[in-house]
Amino acid sequence: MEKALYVSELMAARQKAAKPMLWLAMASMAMIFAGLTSAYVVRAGNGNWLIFKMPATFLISTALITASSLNMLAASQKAKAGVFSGMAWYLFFTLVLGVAFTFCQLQAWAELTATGIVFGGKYSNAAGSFLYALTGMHLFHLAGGLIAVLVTWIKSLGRKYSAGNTLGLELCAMYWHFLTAVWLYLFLFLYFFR
Amino acid sequence: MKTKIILCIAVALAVCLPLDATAQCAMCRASLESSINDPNSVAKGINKGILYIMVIPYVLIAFIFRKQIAALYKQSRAGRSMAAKANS
Repeated sequence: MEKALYVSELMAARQKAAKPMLWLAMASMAMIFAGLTSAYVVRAGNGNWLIFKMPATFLISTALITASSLNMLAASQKAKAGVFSGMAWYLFFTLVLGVAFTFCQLQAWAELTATGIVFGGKYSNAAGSFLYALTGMHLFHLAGGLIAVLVTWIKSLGRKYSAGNTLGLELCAMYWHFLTAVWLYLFLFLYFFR
Repeated sequence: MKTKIILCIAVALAVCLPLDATAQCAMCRASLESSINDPNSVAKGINKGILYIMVIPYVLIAFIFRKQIAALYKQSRAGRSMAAKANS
């Protein structure tokens, strides 16, 4: 009896700590991107900086991830209202759009490589390398987000969420919106800071 | 107990195995200061870069604690208006 109480208290404490922990993690991830973009600013002021046209595919991927975030928003709105019936579909669309975003980014990389902007080696320029590093770092973080959305989707298919028990969904939504925000920032930064 | 031992070993390793720095702050500063007139110098972008990265933690903290900051502001305003009423 006492042990069960202890376990339930531990679970409650863990759940209470989850959101601040995620905020902390997201702040440190934001600082990775801050560090890289700061290095970009320093290196850009240094000369020998190639100015090239951003592939239009990045615009498509921006639209895709924004749409994905909107679907996630719809899912969490439903959960907040206590309606769990159509939620799995929204999560599914979030996942599909997130995967489409990933492919769009890879396509943009292929287009860049075809125009002679490469990540490293003899023919690379720091401007191109920074673009690959920033988008690559974002994709790396997006991979974790995709796994989280996948898990949330499967759990919502199995009706694991109920009113008052939506912590996993809330955390997933927070992280997913964070990824969208980071991409929007990176896109605007790369677009306007040449 | 086990975690304590692991922690002790980690601290001991961190203390006993320092990474030797081959440069010091003064060296970078000297090279930046002496190359400021060179058109291709590192010094040109570094001030902008430092200002940029300095702002970001403040923005992050302000965003994460926005609700608490707003509550604090509201509270202090309420306190002030109460004090004003008490004085009049």
